[in-house]
Amino acid sequence: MQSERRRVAVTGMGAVTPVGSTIDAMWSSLVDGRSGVDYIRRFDASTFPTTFGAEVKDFDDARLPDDPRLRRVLDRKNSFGWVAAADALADSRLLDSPPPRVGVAIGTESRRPEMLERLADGDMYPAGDDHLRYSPFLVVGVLASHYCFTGPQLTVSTACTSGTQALGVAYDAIRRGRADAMLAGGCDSLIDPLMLTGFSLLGALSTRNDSPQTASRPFDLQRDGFVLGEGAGMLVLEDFDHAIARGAPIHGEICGYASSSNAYRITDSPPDGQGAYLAMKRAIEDAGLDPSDIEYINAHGTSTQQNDRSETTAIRRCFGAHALHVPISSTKSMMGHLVNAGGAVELIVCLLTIRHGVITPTINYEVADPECDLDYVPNVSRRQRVDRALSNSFGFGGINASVVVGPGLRE
Amino acid sequence: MRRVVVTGIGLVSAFGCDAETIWRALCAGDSATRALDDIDGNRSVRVIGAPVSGFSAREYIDGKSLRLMAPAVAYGVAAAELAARDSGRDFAAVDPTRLGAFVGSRGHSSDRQDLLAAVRLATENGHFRLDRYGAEGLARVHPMWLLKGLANNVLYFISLKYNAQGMNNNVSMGGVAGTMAIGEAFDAIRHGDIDVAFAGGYDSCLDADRLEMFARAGLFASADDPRRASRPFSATRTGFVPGEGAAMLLMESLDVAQRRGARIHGELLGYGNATGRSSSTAARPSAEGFARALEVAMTDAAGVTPDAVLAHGFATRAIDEEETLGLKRAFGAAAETIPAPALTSMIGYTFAASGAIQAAIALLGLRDGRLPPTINLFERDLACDLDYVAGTEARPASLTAVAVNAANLAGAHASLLIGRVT
Repeated sequence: MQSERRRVAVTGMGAVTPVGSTIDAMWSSLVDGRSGVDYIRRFDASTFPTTFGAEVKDFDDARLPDDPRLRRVLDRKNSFGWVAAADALADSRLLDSPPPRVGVAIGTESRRPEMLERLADGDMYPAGDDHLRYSPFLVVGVLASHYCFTGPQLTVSTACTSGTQALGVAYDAIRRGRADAMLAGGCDSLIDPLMLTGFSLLGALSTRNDSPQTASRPFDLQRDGFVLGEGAGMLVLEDFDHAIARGAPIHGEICGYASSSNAYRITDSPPDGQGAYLAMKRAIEDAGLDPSDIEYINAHGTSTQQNDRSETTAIRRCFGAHALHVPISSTKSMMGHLVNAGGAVELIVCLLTIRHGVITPTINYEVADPECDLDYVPNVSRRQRVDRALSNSFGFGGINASVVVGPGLRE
Repeated sequence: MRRVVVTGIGLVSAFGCDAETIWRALCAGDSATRALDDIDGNRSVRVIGAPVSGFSAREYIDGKSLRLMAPAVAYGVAAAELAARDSGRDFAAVDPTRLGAFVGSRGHSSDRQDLLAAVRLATENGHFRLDRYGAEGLARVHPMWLLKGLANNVLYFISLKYNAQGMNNNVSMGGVAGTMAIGEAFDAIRHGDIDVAFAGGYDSCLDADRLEMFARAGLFASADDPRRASRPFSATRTGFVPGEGAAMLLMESLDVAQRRGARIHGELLGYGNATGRSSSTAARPSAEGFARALEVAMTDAAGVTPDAVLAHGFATRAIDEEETLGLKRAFGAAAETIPAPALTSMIGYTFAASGAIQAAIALLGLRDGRLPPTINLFERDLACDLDYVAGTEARPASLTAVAVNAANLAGAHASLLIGRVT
C-alpha cells in the first residue's frame, strides 16, 4: 500500500513563538538555549498561583491583513496563525504556480480570554461582535478563502496533540490524492486569566514563581509542571513530484504519521506509556523504517512528573536498546507549551535539526531523575548529523500523535 | 483500497433515541421545533428550537463519567453506545490498536455556571478586579471546568469505554464536523490504518451561550406557530432553528464485518471535502463549494451519481440558494430529477451533529427505499426550484446511493456518498 502513495515534501515553514517570530530568530534562540519564559506582561497575574508564561513578545500587528472584517474576526491566536501561514506560503513560493487542489488543516480551539470580564458586566456578546470570531473553524475558513484554496479544510481540536494531528491530516490528504498541497499547522494563545485558571486548578502548571526561566525543566527530577505558551507554526506540505517540478525549496519530507489513544485517564498518562508507544511505533512503521533508523526525538516533554516519566517508558518500549543512544530533547524547556500549536512548531524544529545538523537542547536540566534515564541533550546544543527525526505530541483526553520526518534533497 | 461499511447506528435526537422511532417521525413529516420558554423564562427574544427529547443519560453512561460531561457531550457518548449495541459487535474481539474514533465536535465549551461564583467575588461596583479574582476567585471555579469543556471529551470517553486505541481525530468544523469525521474514518479504514471505527458528531445550539450568540447575530427563525418555523428552501423562511443531538456510526472494513457475520446497514462510497472560491474575505458557503464537495465525493466513489441528496437546508435565503445552485452545478440537467429533502425542516440545524444525523438517516432511507419530506415548504423561493420532496409524507424511491450535503458558516463544504450493499 505504501508504494501507491505519493511522497510528501515540506516546502514552506513559518513560526511565531515565544523565542522568536521568524524561523531564523526562533532557531538561533533554540540553538543558544535561551528561555522565552518570563513574568506575564499582558495582564496583571501577580495574584495568580502561577505568575509567568512564555509570551510572544515581538509580534507585529502590521503584518495582519488590512481588511477590517478580517481584523475583527482574527483574535490573538489566529493572528499568530495568519502571520505564520503567510510566512510559510511566502517561503514555499507555492502561490507563484499553485497546483489545482490546495487545502488547509490547522490544530486550534476557540478561546474566550475576555470571558470573565464579559460575565462580570453581563454582556457576553456586545453589539458588533462577529460570532465567527469564536468559532474553531474560523482560521481555516478565512485562510482558504483569502488564498483562494479549493481543496479540503479541517480543524483539529485535540488539545496538546492538535497541531501534530493537523499535520497528519494534511499528510494523508496529499499522499492519498485528496490534495496537491496543504497549508498545515497549529495556533494557540493560552496566557490569559481563564486558561491560567483551568490549568492551575488541575495542578498542571509549574508554580516556580521565583525563577520563571528555570520553571520548564523536562526530564529533570525537580520538574513541577508545564509553562503556558502561545504562538503558531505553519508548514506547506506538497506532493513531492510537484515540488521538484516547480523547483521549490524542499526543507524535508514527511515520512510517516500515526495517532493513538491511551484509553486511560483523562489527564494522566498511563504508566506503561502504551498510547505514546503505539503512536511512535506506528508512525515509524508507516515510514517504512525501523526504530533504530531514528536519530533524534523531539519529545512531548512537558515538564510534568507524569508525562516525562511515561514518555521515557514509551521510548524505551519502542526503541529497545537504541533508546539509550537516540538524542531526545524538549523544545518546551525553552518556549513552554504551545498546546494546539506545539506539535507544529516542534516539527519545524525537527526539520531545522536535520538541515543544520544541530540538535537543540533540553535546558534547565540539572538533577537526573532515575526514572528518566535517557539522553535528553542537557542544556547545550549538540552538533550531530540527523537524517530521520521523530516528533511526539500527547494531549489531555489521552490522544497521541507522532510524525517522522526526513531530509529534503540531501539524500 | 478496502470497502467500508456501516454496521451500527446510534442517534440522539429531538425525536428521541430510538432509530426506528426517529425514522418514522421523519417519514411522517413531524415537527420537533417548539418555543423554548422553558429553558429561560426571562428571555426577551422568544427562541424556537428543537431540543433533544426522551434522553436519559444514565441509560448509557455511568454516573462518575457523567459528572465530567456537558449535556451535549453525553449525547455524543450515548450515540456511540447506541451504535455499539446496534452493531452487535463484541469489542473484546477487536484489536484495540486497530479500533479508532473520529468525532465531529462543537469544540471547546465553557459552562458559565462554573465561573459565576468566582466572577461575583471579584466584581466590585460592577467592576471586575483581576487581582481579587486571582487571589480569591480562581479557587472558587469548578476544578474540572477545563476538562468539562475539553474539545475532545467525546473522543476521550469513547476511546476509554471501548478501548479504542487506534487512529483518531476530533474535528471541530461547525456544521461540517460530523460529515468530515465520517469521511476521515472512511479514509483511515479503507487505507488500512484501522479496521473498525466509531464516527459521527454531536452538538447543541441550545445552551445559554450559543443561544445568546446566534440571537445577537439575528440568525434565528421566528414564527407564529413554532412547528412551522424551520422552512428550508421556502420563500417565507426567517432563519434557522437551533437544534441539538448526536449520531454515531460504527464503521468497519467490509471483510472484517463479513467475517463476523454482521448485519450491514450500507456502505460508504465517497467523501468530498472542499472549499468554494468566493470573494477574498467572504469565507461563507458558496454554490461552488457545494458543487465541488459533491463532485469530489462522486469521483471518490468511482463516478457514482446519487439517486437523492439529503440537503444541508440551512434555511437562510443566501445559503439555500447557494446550495440549490451547487446541486445544479454538480449534477447538471439531472439535478431536477434528484430529490433533495432537508431534515432541518423537522429537527432544526444541529451543527456538528447534522452531517452524521443525515448519514444515519440516509442509511435508513436506502434500506427502506423511502425519502423523508421537507416540511413547511409551501411558498417556493423562485431561486430554489429543485425537488425538495415538499410535503408531509415520505416518498417511496428506488435508492442505490444517497449523498449528504454539509457546509459551515465559514465556507467549508463536505459531502458523503452512501450506498446500499446488495
